[in-house]
Amino acid sequence: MFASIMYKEWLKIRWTYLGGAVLGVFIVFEIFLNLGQIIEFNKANSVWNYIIFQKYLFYSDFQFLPAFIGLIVGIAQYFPEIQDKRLKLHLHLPMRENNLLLSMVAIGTVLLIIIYSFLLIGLSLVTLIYFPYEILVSLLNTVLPWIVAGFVIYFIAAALFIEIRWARRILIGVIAFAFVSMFYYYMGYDSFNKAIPVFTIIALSLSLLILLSGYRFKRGTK
Amino acid sequence: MLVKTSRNILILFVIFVLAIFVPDFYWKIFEKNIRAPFVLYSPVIHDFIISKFDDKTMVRMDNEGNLLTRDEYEELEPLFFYRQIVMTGKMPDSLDGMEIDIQELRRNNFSYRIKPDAIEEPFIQLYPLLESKSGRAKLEMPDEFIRLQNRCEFINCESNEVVEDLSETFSKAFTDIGFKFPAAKIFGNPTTRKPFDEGYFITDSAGDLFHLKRVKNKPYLKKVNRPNGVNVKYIVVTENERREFYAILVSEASKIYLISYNDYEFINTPIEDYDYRVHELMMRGNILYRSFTFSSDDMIRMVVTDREYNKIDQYDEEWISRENTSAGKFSKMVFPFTLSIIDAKEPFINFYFLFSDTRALIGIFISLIIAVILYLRKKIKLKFIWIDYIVILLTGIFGLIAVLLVRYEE
Repeated sequence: MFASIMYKEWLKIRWTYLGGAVLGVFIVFEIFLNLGQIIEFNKANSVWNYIIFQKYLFYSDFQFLPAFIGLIVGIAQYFPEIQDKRLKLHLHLPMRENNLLLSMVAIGTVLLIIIYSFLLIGLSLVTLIYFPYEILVSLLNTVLPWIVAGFVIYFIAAALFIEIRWARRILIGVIAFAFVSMFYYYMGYDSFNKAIPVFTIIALSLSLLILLSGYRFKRGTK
Repeated sequence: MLVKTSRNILILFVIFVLAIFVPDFYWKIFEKNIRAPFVLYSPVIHDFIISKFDDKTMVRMDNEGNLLTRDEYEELEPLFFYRQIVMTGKMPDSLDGMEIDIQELRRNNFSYRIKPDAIEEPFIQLYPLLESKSGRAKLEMPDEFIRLQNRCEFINCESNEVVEDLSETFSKAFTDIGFKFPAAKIFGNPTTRKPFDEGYFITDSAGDLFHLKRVKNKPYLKKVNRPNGVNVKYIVVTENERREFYAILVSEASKIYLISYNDYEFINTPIEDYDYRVHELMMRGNILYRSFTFSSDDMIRMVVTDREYNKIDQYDEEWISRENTSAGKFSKMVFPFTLSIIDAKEPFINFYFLFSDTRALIGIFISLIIAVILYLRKKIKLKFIWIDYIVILLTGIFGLIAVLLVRYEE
């Protein structure tokens, strides 16, 4: 049963997913080219100095990429479900509705983990060509909140699309927007090092929001 | 069960966001700009002169409260406003029996600031070790950055590779002097925009303090003897042409010392009640005096000393902090706590809670009554919504808004 759900979810999102991957590769490649150009036109030591002490984020183009991928995957996966209330059919499958909804979210989450890891590996390789590991560590610390924001947007997209009432949609949307904006507060690299565990726990707990929307969906469409 | 959990998560999520944004909006509407007064010590009348904002207008006065015009005010501190005073031709020939030479006066003016958020600010632990005796008129950025982890490694920026010979020479100097790797904290000014280079002051993993410079590509490394019980919290390396002290040192116990050019001797300063976690410190100097000013959001203190750091006078002023204005008192009733992800005194994003006191019970009580009335009218049984009451009891108005927005699902 799970395998067939997985296949169905993959069919829904595959082109969007691959599109996100292509965009991601393009952005990582662009960061690589930009770095090469900056180092060609400046002395390497002044580039290091600028990155370390002026806190210049050479990877800032990556900032909204995880959020964007999370959003388009969420739309591709959940928007079709509310067209003609297709989700109603799924809820008749021989599987408990909560398990069904959680499987859908789990599949999307795993796919996001794969794409984000893949992009982070690319970004790490680009960084290590020019810089020592200390700069890579700070990059990973700094990029992590943006990645978590990607998951938040995906979970919220799931809860939003399955939700049937506009009032609730607006509530979740506004609160989530306020929450996601926190991940983009800029205070230089490494500034999220203390807060990221709690932010991650909150983000993960949001994966369950789809259940309430699913429950309301089922009740509302009976 | 899971659906209930899902609702509770949504409620907590809404509370979390409300506790950050609602107080923030509240203060955006009601906060009045309370600016600390600017205090100087006049070498003319040997007393403090103050300028501050009264609403939107700048008011200048002496320590007795007599209002001063801008010209009168500036003439009382000709060392600080020397450009203006020289221009108007009112510079006295001498002050405190010392003849005034404009060049000397300019050379002796300095100021350094230590903000609480700078003390723990995270930096990538790679530093350029400038050549301090290059024989060039201007300092130059070196081709290598140093890493003080297991040894002293020089990494060439162009190739991103370790330079072995330099690393060996410097690492040997570190082990010879008894430095315990890795370095704990590194203090210095990694810039070429300074008159000369004094390298870095470094604490090792045992807490000992060392001074490192690169002199003709060779290590200059000295252990700095600290007075008993002085543990380093923060250091500002001054690199000032007067070469009176290498650095300002703030100890773990919030005492301020100067590390003198006279064999790294620690100079005590007569500063009391300073706390590096809350106060912003400003040290100023001129040809006659030194001054240490520290302030928080409801007080300022300025201690004036002579050039030997003997205390001459002290200025204290307190004012009503934001929390104690009427808007602040009202907020203590409405919000049982507020949450912010930033704090002006901290360099990290984190969860900064500010709890109210017993006054919060008023807001919580009113919130509970509203909830009881609404739930009674809807005739919802207590066994379904008892958790809502607990949420409101703990989070007051935030909980009330959250449970009303995310209503109970039958």
